Amino acid sequence: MLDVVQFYEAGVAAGITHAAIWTPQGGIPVAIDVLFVNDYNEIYETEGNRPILRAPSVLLPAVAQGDAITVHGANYRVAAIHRDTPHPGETALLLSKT
Amino acid sequence: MANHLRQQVRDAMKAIIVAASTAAGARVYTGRIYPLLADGPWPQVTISSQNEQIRAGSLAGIGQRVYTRTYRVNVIAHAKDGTDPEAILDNVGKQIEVAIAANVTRSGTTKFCILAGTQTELSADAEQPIGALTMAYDVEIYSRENTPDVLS
Repeated sequence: MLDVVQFYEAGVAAGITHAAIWTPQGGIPVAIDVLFVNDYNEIYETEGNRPILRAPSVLLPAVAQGDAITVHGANYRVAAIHRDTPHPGETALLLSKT
Repeated sequence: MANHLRQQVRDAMKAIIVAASTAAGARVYTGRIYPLLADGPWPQVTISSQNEQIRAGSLAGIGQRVYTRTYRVNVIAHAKDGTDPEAILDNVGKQIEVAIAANVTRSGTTKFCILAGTQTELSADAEQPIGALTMAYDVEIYSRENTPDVLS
């Protein structure tokens, strides 16, 4: 059975991951391969999307709210951090567009 | 025949808000079914009516009785903003309250209209926080039962 890092490495090989840049506040940018979804979400009669990034937790040490994330040329900040989600060893970041 | 009084009230409130040059500008909508577009600009305002109740007077003959119609008009301000959508909503809400209060008969379409309450909703489930401020106006109008487009 693959561990989380091996799973993401397989994802890179299969071309299902996305290249992202994580920039901790006051830190230097770090390139990581992530899973990224940006599903349509209508709230209070207003259209929107729900950007969520997933990556192995070991690749996001000390990630914090407010850190910068760039995916597909769009800039986000980390709005919320869900550790061990959806699987142990994986972190999901809820993003807010800047 | 003119539009039903309910629509006349909505149209009048829209015209009042647009004329007041609020932060929503001309982005004030009645009869909107589909969601507001994601990219704004914000704020935007939607107007709808709901829950009409009717009491019939008995002094006139059947067909011409006076209806007392009471219902709610929801004026809903919408905003999407990465910092403070609630502040945007409260600002445009203030402007709307002032504009509607300054036109006591809503351009002659109502006998009675009062802000009955407000509700603020905020959500982070989008690429930027989304908020909605519902300003619920209670409206009372009178019409003959055979002329729902004419204020009595």
